[in-house]
Amino acid sequence: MATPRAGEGLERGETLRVQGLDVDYVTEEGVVAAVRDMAFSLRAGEIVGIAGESGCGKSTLAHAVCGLLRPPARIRRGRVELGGQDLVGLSERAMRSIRWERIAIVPQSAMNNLSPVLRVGDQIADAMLAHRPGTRAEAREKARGLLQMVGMSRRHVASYPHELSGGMRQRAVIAMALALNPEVLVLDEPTTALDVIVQAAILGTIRDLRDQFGFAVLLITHDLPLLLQTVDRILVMYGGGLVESGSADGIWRRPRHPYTRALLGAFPPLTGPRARLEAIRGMPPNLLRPPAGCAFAPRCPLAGEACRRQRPPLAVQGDAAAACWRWEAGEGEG
Amino acid sequence: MRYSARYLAKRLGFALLTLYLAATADFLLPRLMGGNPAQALASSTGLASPATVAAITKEFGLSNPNWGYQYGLYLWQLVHGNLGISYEYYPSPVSTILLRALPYTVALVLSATVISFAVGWSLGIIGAWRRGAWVDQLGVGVAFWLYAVPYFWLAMMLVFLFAFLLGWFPMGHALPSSITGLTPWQWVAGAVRHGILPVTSLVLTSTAGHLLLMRNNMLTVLADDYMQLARAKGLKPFSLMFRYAARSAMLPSFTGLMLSLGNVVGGAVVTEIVFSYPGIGLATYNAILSHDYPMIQGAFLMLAVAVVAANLLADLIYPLLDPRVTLH
Repeated sequence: MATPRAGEGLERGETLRVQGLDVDYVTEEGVVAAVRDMAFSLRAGEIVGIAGESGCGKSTLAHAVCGLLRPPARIRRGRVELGGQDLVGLSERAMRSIRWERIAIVPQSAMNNLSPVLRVGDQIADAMLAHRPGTRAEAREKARGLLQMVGMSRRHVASYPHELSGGMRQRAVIAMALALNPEVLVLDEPTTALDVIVQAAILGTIRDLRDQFGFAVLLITHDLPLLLQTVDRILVMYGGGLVESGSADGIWRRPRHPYTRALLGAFPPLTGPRARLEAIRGMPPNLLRPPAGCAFAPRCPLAGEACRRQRPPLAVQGDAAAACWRWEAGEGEG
Repeated sequence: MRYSARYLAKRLGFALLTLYLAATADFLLPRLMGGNPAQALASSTGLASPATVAAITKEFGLSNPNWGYQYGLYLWQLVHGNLGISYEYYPSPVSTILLRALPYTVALVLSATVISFAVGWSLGIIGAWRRGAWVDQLGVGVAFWLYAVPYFWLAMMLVFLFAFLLGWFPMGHALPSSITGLTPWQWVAGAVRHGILPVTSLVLTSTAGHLLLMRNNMLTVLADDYMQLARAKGLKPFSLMFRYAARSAMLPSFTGLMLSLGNVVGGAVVTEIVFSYPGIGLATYNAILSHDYPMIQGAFLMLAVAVVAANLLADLIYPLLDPRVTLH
């Protein structure tokens, strides 16, 4: 389970550190504040999950971390440090050599992430050949090994994507992501379109590979229960900002933020007595005109006057943190 | 191989059936129009004695009025490469006339087709890649303008400007008026000089469509999920643009290319009229004006053969380009 090391030297074993990150979408109707004041860090070998509902900014965050934002999205402020080097503001050429070599992403809807007209092995080989010298034959041979590593057959190098199932395509993209042994692997809703059995198998594979190679994983999903059983640490995002972070265990046993609690209540428990599912009332905030106070206040059963007036800061307590006025006041604990 | 021998045989058989039906339609059409070509020819040449009419009727294979007999004769001649005798250029065989015009047409239309696809695809790819940049805006703007301009007007303006006013190029025809005593090099140079204006006119009008289609396909592909992953892999722009994007975007355009290649032997009627270019198009046009049925039949049949062959070829090449297509 989780091995919380917070409180020790901040730099120790840290590979990725995001600080004060703001991402905007500049649209005709105005500036959408997609990510606000985001901060977290990832240690080598750690699996950190980011949870939140659609539109909370988690995919934007994943793209920002990998330097993949394209207009109209832009980083307004903040740092994304990889091994001490700030990636924000790097030229496209400099970013190109870092991507995949040091930070790789498995994007959303991985089913469609492979070109339909090129062989899987060649698409993996392309990633290797773009960064390292070598022949295509060597790269293909290495691709065979990678496919085997993620639980596929070596002969699938010669397959076209349409010949593979969704789960296998997903595994192929993961094999591709690991081709250059990156320090950080970003998984953006990697298993959304897959059934739970395949989901569990793929995440199991990722954990095994993490144990073997020691890369850090940033796993982004709207599926909080999935994170609870997969990751070491969880960050909960709402309305573009971080509302709670803590060990998976801690969040499961004692969620601090009312949104986290609501999110946990929205999924059925597989064991124990049958309980009525609680849907979260209302709609996610309009980030074109974000609320002045806590972004969750309009939907929060505990919201008070202070919540609507001022945005709560992230209050740290041990290895956990939450941004909630109510929690500080002691009323949020339940 | 991505297709079986069985598929190959089936596809080939289908092509032959199509050709047979085209040939049959070709046989029926002039007969449905009525009239007696032998009498028409004999009277037009002022040799209208009954003996002459009978002789010509026999030569045209019309002495037996039974369509079944004529049909059999027609097919028999066809299989032996005999397309009949031209009414207009009596007694030259149709095949001779067509074969004389064919090289000009193929040189003209083939080069125009190849150039317009090459230019249209390149500009479409670059335009989509740099969407909204000046090269894209200029390309799309000019393409729409050319698309809207009537072809004959464009061709005539080219002749007026570059041949009549400036005198850079000849006004028409495919070769200098006297070709005796020309060295092979001079002959080629003359042919190219005569070809530049008609080829340019064809390229200008047909490029626009290829550009717009390719640009659209390219934009669709660029928005696909796999392009983002390809970018995230750290691929160089060249590889992204061609190996990943254009490679997929060309698939819908490929069919258009093959069909255009099939239509090459049909000639470019308006071009050949405007530039007095002695190709198949002009020959067919004249044949229609002078009711030269065997000529029309021959030209149509040749076109049918070329289109069917191009289709067959396209069907055989396509699975090699798109692995999702397998043929059984």
